[in-house]
Amino acid sequence: MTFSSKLTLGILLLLCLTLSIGGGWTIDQNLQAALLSSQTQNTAFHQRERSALEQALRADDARSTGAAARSVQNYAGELQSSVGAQSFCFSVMDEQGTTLYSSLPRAVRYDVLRSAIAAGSQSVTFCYPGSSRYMVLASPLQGTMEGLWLVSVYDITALFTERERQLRQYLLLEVTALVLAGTAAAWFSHRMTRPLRALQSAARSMAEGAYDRRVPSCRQAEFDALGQDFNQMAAAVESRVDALQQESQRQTRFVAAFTHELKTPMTSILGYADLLRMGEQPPERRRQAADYIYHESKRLETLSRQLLQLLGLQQGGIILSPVAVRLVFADVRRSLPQDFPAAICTDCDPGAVVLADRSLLGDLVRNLVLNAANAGPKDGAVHLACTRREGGWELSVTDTGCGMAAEELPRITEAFYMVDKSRARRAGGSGLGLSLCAEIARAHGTALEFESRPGKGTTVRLLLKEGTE
Amino acid sequence: MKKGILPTAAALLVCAALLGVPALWARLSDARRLNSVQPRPTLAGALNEEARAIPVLYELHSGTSDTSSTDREELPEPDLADLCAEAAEPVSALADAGVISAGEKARLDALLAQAPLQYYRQNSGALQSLSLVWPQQDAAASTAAIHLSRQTATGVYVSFGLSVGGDLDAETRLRAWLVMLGVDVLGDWEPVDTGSYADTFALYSAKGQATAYCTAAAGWVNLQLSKGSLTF
Amino acid sequence: MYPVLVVDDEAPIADLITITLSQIGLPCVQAHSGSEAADLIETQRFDLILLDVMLPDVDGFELMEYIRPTGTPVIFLTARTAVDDRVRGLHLGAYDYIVKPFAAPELLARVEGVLRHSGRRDTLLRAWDVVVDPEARTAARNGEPVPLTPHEFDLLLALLHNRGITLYRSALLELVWGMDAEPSNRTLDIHMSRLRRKLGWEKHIRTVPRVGYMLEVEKTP
Repeated sequence: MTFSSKLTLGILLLLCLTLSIGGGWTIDQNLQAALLSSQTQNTAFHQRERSALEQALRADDARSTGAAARSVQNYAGELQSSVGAQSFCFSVMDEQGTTLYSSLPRAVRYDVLRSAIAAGSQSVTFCYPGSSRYMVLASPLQGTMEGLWLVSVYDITALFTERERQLRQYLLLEVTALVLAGTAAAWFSHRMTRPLRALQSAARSMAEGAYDRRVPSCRQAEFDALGQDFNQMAAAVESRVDALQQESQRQTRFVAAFTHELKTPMTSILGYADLLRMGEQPPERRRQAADYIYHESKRLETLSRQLLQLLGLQQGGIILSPVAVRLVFADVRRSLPQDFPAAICTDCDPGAVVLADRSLLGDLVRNLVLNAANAGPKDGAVHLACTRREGGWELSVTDTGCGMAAEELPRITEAFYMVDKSRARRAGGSGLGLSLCAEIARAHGTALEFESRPGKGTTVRLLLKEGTE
Repeated sequence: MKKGILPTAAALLVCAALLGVPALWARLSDARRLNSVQPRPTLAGALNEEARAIPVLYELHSGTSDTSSTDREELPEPDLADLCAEAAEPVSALADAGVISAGEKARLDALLAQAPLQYYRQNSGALQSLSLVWPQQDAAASTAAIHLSRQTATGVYVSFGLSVGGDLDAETRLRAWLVMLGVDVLGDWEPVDTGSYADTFALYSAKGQATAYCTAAAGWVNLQLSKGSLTF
Repeated sequence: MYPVLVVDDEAPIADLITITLSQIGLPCVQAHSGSEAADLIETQRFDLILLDVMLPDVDGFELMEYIRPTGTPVIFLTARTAVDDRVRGLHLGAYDYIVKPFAAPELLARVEGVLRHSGRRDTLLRAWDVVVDPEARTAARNGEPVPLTPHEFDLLLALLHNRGITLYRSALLELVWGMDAEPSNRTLDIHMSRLRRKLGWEKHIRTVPRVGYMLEVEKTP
């Protein structure tokens, strides 16, 4: 059962209870008030009747039952001729219960009159034959003979008819009120719980994978707070899922790139070997095939070496020792091929000593230098620098080449990511160079910092701890 | 959704049942009310039933007094001694009730022993009045007189005028007289402000719709029971 | 008769394909990047396009957008083996799919298959008065069918695919009888002499002593 229908039914029940009890009480009070006023009025009528009868009896000086009966008959006769038989309704009886006169309706039975007399002159009794309601008042007639009683009967059916009408009208009113209130409550509670349903639908969508679903803000403070919390949770989940997806995509890309990098040279090697193996190829083709086989094998060798180095770095730590930066720069310069297309400009503090693994740091700088040269520096030079910074020395490799777009920067250290693939391939890059650099930097407890602008050039910085020789 | 149907239906049934509450209430209270005996409302200004049962009060209200024909009735010469005897009876009743002292009674008896100088009898239907006048007894006093009024139907004296006085105060006399009349049982006699009449004490009963007062001046006592409320 | 376009950023592979296809007389044009290929597709007509999926600038799948309106049949070349990639390539309208690394006979078979199915070019091999249908595995001399055993036909195909090149005995034995079988050199000699007799090619198939056999290149008049 939903909260909104519970609320609606609760309101309906409470309202129905209040209206029913309140209505019952009010209508009963109305009848009570009408009865009281009718009692007062009828008492006055009764007293008037009594006085008039007493006067009549006195006037006739009726001292016996017979005389009294005659006197009452006369009085009634006069009354009837002046106001009509319908407007009065009384009975006179003596102490023994003999009725001297009666103009009562048949439905009012004799014992009713006796019990009214028994109740005495200070009381009001009722009788209700069928659907009629009568008020019965009895009083002794004084002044002439003892034991004469006047019993007046007044029709109060109208009061009860009026009460029935009020009941019917109230029932109609109550039903109308309930229908209106029920509709309003249902609408209102439905409206009130709308944020909850929005939350539910959002939670379901999220369960089905729509992690970008959010709930809109709403007016009720509690629901709004809940919605905000939900949105925060959703945002946390979404970012976590995104991170996982990115990681997974990175893995997929790595596998795809690795497969490509592995299979491409293998295809050439196998194809040319097969060609040579089949038959006597012309000398020119034979030379070309051998050349391709050699270079592609070399490529595979570089790939496997770098991959193993990368795996080794990721698995085990390295031993750091103080190394003079100028020696590292000299190593790099020596390791470059004779036909290296760019000049190397070094700007190094001769006393700069850092904590590093000399050969790994050399590989790192060399890779950065190769990349810088590939970028095609406009001044034909790669600048190496080492400057003092707080907490150590900052090594930097700067070129004035093509540079990279900002959106490329986060991915350049990813394995096999190549900004310009054909250029990189021509230069013999495997796509692992920068990954390796980043991994070496990580092993030294620091990180590479790239700053690049397309068309202007790139600077890579590395902060290393100072070492003492 | 299926789970919600049963409670919803139950709640709606309860609602429908509650709709019948006013009608049920009406039936129940009818049964209680119509079988009960209820007190009759009191009509403001009307004679109370209790007071009505006291003949003197009933007569005070219902007796018709024909004031227009209150001519002094010259009866065929009555025996003066009979008149005195007729007046002596209520006087001794007053003395028995303590409305007048023994001394006052003795003085009145002395008067009644003499033949009155004048007498008046008046019959207004409801009331019969008798006035007896004697010549002055001494230089200090004026004429001595006794006025009596009694209800024709009940024979109860409701008005006295006695040329005695001084022994008792007005309140004592009035309260004793009410006891003698038997109307003190109503129990709601309240003093009435008599204004400048310092020698007059008056009581009013709402139940009896009647005022009783007593004037006790030097040498004169007046007792009166009248219907309605009097203002002084 | 239009050339075959070979699109691959790796020059060694592009060269390898060119060499292999030229053996059966298919001229090739090379493109080393997607943009270069797109330019060529817009300006020239080709009977077939061999397309590498991983290209530096324009992805091979994207290039299909340019190719499809021309109706040129496409064979994808790729190092990827994921089934999704293959299905995607075929959905985009490629005729076939070759996974790197590939062997020369496989490449030739696929290329011939595609060319024949697309109806761009007949794939019959001709030498002097002999016409060979590699798909139907039949040979005819002057219109007369020449009955050949499967091994004889495979031998003929190997010679036709490598005209002017002396094929080593070991390579021929492996090609025709497979890696695992151990036929003797004698078997090869017998099959070769029967093939010569059936086709009347006693002079065209030359024996290179202790090395192997070679089918002479037809002198163009």
